[in-house]
Amino acid sequence: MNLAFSEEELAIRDEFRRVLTSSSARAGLVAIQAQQLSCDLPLWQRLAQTGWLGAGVAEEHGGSALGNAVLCLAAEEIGRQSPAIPYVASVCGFAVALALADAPRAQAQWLPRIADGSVLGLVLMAQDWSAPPLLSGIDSADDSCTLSGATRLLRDGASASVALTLIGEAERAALLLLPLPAGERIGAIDKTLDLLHPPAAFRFDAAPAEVLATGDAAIRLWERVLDRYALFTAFEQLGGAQAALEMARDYSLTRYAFGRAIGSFQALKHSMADMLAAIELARSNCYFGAAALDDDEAQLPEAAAVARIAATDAFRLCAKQNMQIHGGIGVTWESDAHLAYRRAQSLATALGTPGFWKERLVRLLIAHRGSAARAA
Amino acid sequence: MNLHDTPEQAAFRERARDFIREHAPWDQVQQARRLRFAGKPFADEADWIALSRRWQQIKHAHGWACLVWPRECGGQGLSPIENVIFQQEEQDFVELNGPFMISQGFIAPTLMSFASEAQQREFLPAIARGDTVWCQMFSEPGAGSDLAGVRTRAERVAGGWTLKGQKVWTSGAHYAAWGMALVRTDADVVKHKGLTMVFMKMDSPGITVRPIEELSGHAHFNEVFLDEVFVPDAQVLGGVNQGWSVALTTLMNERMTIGASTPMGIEEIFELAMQPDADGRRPIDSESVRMKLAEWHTKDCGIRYGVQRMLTAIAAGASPGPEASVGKLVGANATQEIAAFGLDLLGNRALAQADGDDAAYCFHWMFHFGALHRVEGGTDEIMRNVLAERVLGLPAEHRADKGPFRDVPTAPPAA
Repeated sequence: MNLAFSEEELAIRDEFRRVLTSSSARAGLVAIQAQQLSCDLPLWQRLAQTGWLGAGVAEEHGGSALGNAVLCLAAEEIGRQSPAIPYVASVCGFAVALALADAPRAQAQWLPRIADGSVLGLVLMAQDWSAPPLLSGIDSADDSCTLSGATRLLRDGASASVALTLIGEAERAALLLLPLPAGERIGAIDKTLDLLHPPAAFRFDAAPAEVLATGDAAIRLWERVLDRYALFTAFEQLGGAQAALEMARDYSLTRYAFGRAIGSFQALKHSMADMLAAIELARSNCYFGAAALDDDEAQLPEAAAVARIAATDAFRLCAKQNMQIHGGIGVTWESDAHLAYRRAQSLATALGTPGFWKERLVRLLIAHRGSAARAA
Repeated sequence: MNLHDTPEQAAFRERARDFIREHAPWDQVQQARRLRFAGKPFADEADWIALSRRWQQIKHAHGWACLVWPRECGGQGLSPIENVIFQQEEQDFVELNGPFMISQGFIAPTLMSFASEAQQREFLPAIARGDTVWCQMFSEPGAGSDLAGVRTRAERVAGGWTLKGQKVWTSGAHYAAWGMALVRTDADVVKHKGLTMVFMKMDSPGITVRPIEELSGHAHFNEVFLDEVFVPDAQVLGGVNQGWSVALTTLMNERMTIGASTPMGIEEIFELAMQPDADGRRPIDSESVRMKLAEWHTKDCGIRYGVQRMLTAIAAGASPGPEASVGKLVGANATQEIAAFGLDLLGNRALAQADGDDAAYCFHWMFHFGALHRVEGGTDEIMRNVLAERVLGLPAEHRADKGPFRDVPTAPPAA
């Protein structure tokens, strides 16, 4: 077993880091709040020009296909730098999902536009619909159908223009590619939970959609999509947790009280040691997941759930303790601490709540024990 | 990244499996499994030690003992990864390594770093065979977490030293043939600088060993009284007043061994949660139980994969860092939580261990062990200090013991 990224993968990550540092969470907030943009579009365009939006897209569709390991590291880097862009949703989540499907026409139509940045994609879970949407019959000539229904508010909805989603159950299940109409944004920025990922809701009235798979095939594909996206999200959370811990540590070394750096007080040291322990658990689980993704897909469902649960815990703990260690300044609008605090919360429920992933894990473990018992 | 054995590792695993299938004490496997969480399924401790020693000797005779040690020390000169593969295959019997964990895991690496060539040839092969057990006399009534505060005095005499003092929490002192002790040779310098590591036969004149009854009612640890015990100069390890760096070597190996090898209790709680109660309801069908199981399983995976990350780093030439403390810190706390949760599930059944009630037996032990495990081998608080200072680079505590050791404040005498 080898649970380390290669030198080459880390070097690519370092390149990505350099491009991302041309912006910041604060600059993204200005773009969204003052310039009324849906995300940090200048950064998004730079990433398009430098090829980073095609990291999960095959070369035949205009991407660079950097591989799963690099996508994991890219998601972690997004977590660390926290730019106001839906990178993990669109480049890791949506593009990788669409690439898994046996849908050459849809791939040829949409993946080049993901890679050039003109389209931003989302993956919608059942929790994202306010009621199960209604589907027309499928036109077997071009696998098209129409859909009517409404979504709840979607993280990154404000910037998205296409989505992938699973509708229906069992033999009536259908994996759909769904172009999004203009979304309804909620008014003021200070009313949104995660300032850097503005949400929007969508309404569909007999809107056109493309069916990528149906029945069992759709469900199997969907499971693979969820595992991958969960793992990428876990890496994003891991990066966010690490950045929050480093922010807390750096501040505690420069802030003095009672004549000494506050980082020398055991109360704060132990708080940061617990943050580190949570991060170490999450990191080990994320790395195992990355290895399973490339090396043994049979182990991926459990590994992805475990990584997601651990990373959610780590980011939430680190974000709130970072704020606490910053004291008064940490709870001001001016501090970046609340940007991480808000993001840790919005990521915890994006793509399934913590309860969803814990339930999914326990079901897998019970099934696993059942099959082990039958084999014995 | 990958999850699989290399062809060489797979072949090694196959050979390990064959050996264990053929030679392990399968007639005692139930007893061996019940040793998890320091249970005591053997009527007599001597039976446990005898069985453990027999298995150790069989492993040694077939070339499966102390795999990572150099051959001249009684080992096989293999890598840490092969060692882990063997441990995975030895899982059912791994608790039979208990009597040798301190000798082989903590003491032997210290001897390899600090003992003379002749001493290594004399002692290490016997430790590898399980013939000789050593104990580690570090803690004292006034020096546990503050280990460098030990007060056992070593006075210079012709040809060596005379020790006077008391040690405590010494595992296995009652069956160990040799012991290693951290003692004070100079009280006029700063406390870390006046310490020396020595070793001695445990039947030396002046040594008295008394068991400490733990909260479980059993006695694994001891008090050791040293009353004018003579130690020859040749039995000083690492030089006079150099004992602190010797102790740090031992402690680092202790944390790695403990962190990497201790079960958390996840299998036990999962099994209990799957058992229907008197009304036919299974705890695992309740959402609150399922959420807890998922959380503990996640921690258990994090600790196990953390060991794999450490092995990957070692294989690439790195030395294990203080991050190894995470496993023990998280694992011990989770074990204590799992034990309480298991006892909750058992309800009134937990109030006493009925004959043959394996679940009550197991969770009682875990309940005691969880408390003890958060203290032994570095308390939670010490582990957090290690992580904060050595990994995060945070400043050390302000302290009141920086002058000569004899001036360090102590508790005022009781009124």
